Amino acid sequence: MKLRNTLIAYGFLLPALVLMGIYTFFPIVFGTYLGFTEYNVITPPRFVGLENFRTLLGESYFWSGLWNSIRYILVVPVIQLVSIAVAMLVNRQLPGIGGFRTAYYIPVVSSFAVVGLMWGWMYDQFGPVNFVLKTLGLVKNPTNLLLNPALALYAVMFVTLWKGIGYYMVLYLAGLQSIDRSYEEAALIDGANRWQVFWNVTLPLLRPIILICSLLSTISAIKVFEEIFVMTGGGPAGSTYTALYFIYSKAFQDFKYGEAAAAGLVVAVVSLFFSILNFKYTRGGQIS
Amino acid sequence: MRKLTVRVLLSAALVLALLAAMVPTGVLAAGKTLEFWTISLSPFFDTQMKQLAADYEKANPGVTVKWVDVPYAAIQQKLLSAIAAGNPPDVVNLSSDMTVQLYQQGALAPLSDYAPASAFKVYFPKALDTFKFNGKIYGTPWYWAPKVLAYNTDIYKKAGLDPNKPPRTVAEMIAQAKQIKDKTGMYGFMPNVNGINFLTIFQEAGLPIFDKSGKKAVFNSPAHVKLLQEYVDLYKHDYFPEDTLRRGYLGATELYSEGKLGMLLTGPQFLIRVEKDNKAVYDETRVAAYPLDKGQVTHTPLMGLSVPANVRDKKEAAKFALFATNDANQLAFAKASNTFPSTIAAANDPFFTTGGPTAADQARIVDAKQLKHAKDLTVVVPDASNLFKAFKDNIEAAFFGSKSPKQALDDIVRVWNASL
Repeated sequence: MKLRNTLIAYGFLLPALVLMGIYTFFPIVFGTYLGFTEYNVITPPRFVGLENFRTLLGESYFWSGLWNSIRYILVVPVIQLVSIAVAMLVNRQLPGIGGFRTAYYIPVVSSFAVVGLMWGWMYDQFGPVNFVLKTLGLVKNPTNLLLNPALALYAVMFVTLWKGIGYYMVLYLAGLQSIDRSYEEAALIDGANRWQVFWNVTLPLLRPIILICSLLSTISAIKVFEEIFVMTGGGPAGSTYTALYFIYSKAFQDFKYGEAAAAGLVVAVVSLFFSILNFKYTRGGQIS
Repeated sequence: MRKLTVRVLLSAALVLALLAAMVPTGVLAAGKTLEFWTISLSPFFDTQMKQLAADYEKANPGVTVKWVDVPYAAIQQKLLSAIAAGNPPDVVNLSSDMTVQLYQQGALAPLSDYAPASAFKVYFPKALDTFKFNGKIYGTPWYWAPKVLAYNTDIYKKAGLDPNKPPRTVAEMIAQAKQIKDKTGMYGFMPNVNGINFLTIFQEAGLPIFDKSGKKAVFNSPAHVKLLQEYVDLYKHDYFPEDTLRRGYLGATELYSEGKLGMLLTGPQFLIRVEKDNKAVYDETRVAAYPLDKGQVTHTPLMGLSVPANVRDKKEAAKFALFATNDANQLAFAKASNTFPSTIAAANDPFFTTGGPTAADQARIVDAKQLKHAKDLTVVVPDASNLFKAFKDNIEAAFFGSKSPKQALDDIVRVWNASL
């Protein structure tokens, strides 16, 4: 009977496992193998050992790109704080609250092509952002923020933030709604103020969600590509060039798929490192 | 019983359909299917492409032409995937720079091995040279469109310029652009300085990119530095908008269509866009020859048709590539698209010397006259993504003031020479 149940369970898992095998596990294994080969799609891969990694060591653009990708992690704490705040705001039974939740979620489902074009216009020399900054007296001679090497990366980061808030807000909202109200009520009866309840009760109970959200956003930050591709193309003067942009260029402009795969492996290791840090700082998502 | 028969028939049909889907293109049934890919021609030129396919099928009974249009940004990736999967298109439309890249990867078949040399004599020799590598021809030249100068006569009058005297040289164009900005507050022009376009500006000014051996970059000479400095100064003094550096000709076309740009350097086919966006500006537009610099040459990217290396029937594919780019078909396409043919006889058709009232008509005549200056100035380098990135980043650094033009060019040349 036990064996039968196990077989039935595997039977149900099989379709998903097959799909994951084709679209997740095989690309991981094949991509790892490619990192040790010379491959241009047209001729079969040729094993070259660690040669691609040696080449990568001398590729200054990869390292500057990786540094920009790591800088992009600055988005993570900001997006988490803002998402928690927004989730707290929309976690109320107010008339029309569904409309607010939807509004915050709309950027998540908008395509990056559209979002990139829209924000490209917003940041324009004569666009709304500069209009507001000039009206407030914060700038004298407006310039396109995406053409300022010192600000372009932060301008793109803001778009990531704007687009991602809704996604994490939904996760935090689910987390908040799963917290038993009696904990907060008990703290209030014991004399805690709203802030103390949030800091000592709500936030610790949200820790598992914080871990998931931080992990997801850290990995997304290191893998940032679409925003850069659509809005700046890695410019101006290379200030928004990221590791994934390097990988894209190597694969699809130079047809050096082996080098691109090797760079991908390095990025995966960096992602793993930051994921471990996330685990450490959220105490593995443990509530107590 | 009847239910079972239906099931058996349905299963057999499914198996047959699956088998048919697995058979590679080109060997279906008794006839041949010839797959032909173009770049971003649909939906504007559906009629012409369908007519081309029908004409070939009529002249070659038993052959079916399957036309597939692919967006510009996706063509190389899609083609590589198709080649890797062993199911490439028989004939593919490529720009000259894409042809070079794919040739370097060994992805293209030499057409000159599958067609007589006489078949290639219909093309302009300099157009054909674009697709010639190591003495073999890897593509048939198709359409091109030498750039023209469109200018807004209303802005010209407001700036105190004579609309009958458009600039003939780059120096005159810069002087007029300055006058327009100084007198009207509107920008005079948006030069093509974004990305790696300075490689073209250098060549159009008669300045070399490589030494005679072709193995050493030399674009950091005092003359090169002076030229870059001139454009950096124009930018610093706000003689062209900063959007020039981000969006290039797209931004220029938009600003011109809004009636806020004096001159537009553009391919004649883009004038249709101005007409659609703002008819009033289009009506004020006149067209003159692209201002020449000391090099007496105009960068004119060329489209061509190539055959992937692993196509089975290369002879048939080469035959189609030659058919699609013959005199008659090039002429028909050029008339529909406001571009120029790359065959000698088609280019001499009276259509290109007969005027008309619109800016597009003027552009056609202007183009016909300046075709002698047209040349594809695409720079070919190994490790292109790194070298072009070094070029783009440093030129931008010069414009944004983080490097001097000399420092920027020295830095690029150092990176290039380490790789060449």
